[in-house]
Amino acid sequence: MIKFITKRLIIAIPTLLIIIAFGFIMMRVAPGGPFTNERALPPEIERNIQEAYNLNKPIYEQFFIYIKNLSVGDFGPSFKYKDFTVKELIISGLPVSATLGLSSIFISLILGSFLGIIAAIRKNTYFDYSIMGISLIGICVPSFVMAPILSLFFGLYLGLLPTSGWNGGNIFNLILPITALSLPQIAVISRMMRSSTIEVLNSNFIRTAKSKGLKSSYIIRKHVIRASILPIIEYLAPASAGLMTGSIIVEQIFGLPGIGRYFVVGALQRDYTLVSGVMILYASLLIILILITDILRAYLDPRVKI
Amino acid sequence: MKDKSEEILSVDNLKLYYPESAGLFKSSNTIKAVDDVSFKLINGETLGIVGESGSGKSSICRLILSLVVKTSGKISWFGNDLDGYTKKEMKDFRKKVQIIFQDPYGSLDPRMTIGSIIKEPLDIFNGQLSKQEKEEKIFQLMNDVGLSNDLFNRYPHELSGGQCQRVGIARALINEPSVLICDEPVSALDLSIQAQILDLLNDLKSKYNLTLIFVSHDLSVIKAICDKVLVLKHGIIIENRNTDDLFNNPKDDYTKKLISSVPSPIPLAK
Repeated sequence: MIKFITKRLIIAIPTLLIIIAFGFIMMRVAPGGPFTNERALPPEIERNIQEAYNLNKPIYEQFFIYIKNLSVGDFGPSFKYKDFTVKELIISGLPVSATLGLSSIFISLILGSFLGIIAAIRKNTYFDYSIMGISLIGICVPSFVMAPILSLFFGLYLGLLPTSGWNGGNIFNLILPITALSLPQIAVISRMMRSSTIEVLNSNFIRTAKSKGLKSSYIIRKHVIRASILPIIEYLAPASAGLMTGSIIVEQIFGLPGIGRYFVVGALQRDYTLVSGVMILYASLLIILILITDILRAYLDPRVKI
Repeated sequence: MKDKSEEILSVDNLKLYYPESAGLFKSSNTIKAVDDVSFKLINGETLGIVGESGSGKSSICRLILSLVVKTSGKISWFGNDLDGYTKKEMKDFRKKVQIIFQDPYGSLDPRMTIGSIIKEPLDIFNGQLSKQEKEEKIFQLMNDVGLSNDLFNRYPHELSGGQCQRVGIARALINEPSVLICDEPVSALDLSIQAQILDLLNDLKSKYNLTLIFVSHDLSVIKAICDKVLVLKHGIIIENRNTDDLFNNPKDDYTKKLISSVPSPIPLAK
């Protein structure tokens, strides 16, 4: 187990390096730079700024300087938010994004699996049809459409919830963004859960459990869910990736001061270090999540050896 | 000892029809999986059910256990109609009538250890036993069915087919049922293991005072183990007689065909 985890963490280092290099090159290739303005700067000032941020050196040298700084935990200064380092920006945005992301994944997991199981047990009833129908809408409507609709309807027309803003993490401010973020995931998870539960319900060992005389609620709890949750566990990592990209948009729409917003602003303004920093954060989170997924899977299914 | 000739289970006019899902331009049909089947099970006997694939053998087993819902007919346990049973009485019935299935590996939950598979029925029906008593019982039974005790913490995929079937038998017997239904228990196993499992069932039958319903498509297996035989074809019973009687003097053409299709032990001696 420990061997497995260390092995995976060691493999993660070159993976991260490749991602960093890729992001680094992509940003440099994009036209313009952090200090390109509509009005050209005087050449002396431009040269001074470029020198201060090492932008006058060749790309590979800039890359090595960046990696060298990273190895001691220095993400560099932000090019656009003067007086802030990338680290400070990430730390200030992380609580917002983490609250949003974690509650969304938690809610989608619980609600999605629950709805999926119920739909599977009541297969081909109106309950099943309506859940699956609604979830189809959830899959088709992207969060950047869902978010403004929710905001408009509940915020403006009904006046029940604030339309946007963080407000120090007030629960009412969180409801709409979390809903917008979770709905597509709930939809996907409930559909996956439904089909895998139906498959398990038809398998031979469930028939054995019935013939033992077990109650059906007990069979569902002890035998069915443990087997049918497996595909959901495997979906956890891609789901989190989806939530991260989704949160970038949702944070923009609801005006939340999370990391996603820095990512978008950074990319638009060619804030090289900020974009790289956020990318490293997202990539490492995903790598860790995939690792957790694999461990969970081995725990739930004794046939999987790690 | 109970009365030897006591009738414990009787099945009257049992029917199971499936609507055949019709094609787009076809009118729908009903498939008669079990059609008007009646028989009685006497305490202590071994009743064989034989027939070709799809003749309704397994359906009858599942109907008796209410694993599928019957179309019509009556199943009685000691003279009481199962339809009138309350949930509690039904639970008791399930404790008394157990089944072992055809697919030894697929019938075990792959996520449970052998020990917990065998223990589970104890938890529902004998919850008052202490952990130690339960374990003692499990080890005792594992011994009886020929499983070594170090398999207790192993998983089904680590066992052979024969061992899996022994686990299936152990978990069926843990609550000391009076009827054991064997739904083609050996058809997935090779010949030498088949013989071992059949021997084991015979031993357990006398040890646990069991009444057996033994389903097979293999007449040589039936001949070795059963007192009485039902011959099924397309869901209908065409013969219901003592085993010796049937083999010495088959009446129906179908039975004759079945008997002649049994491969002889020495192929060219026929």
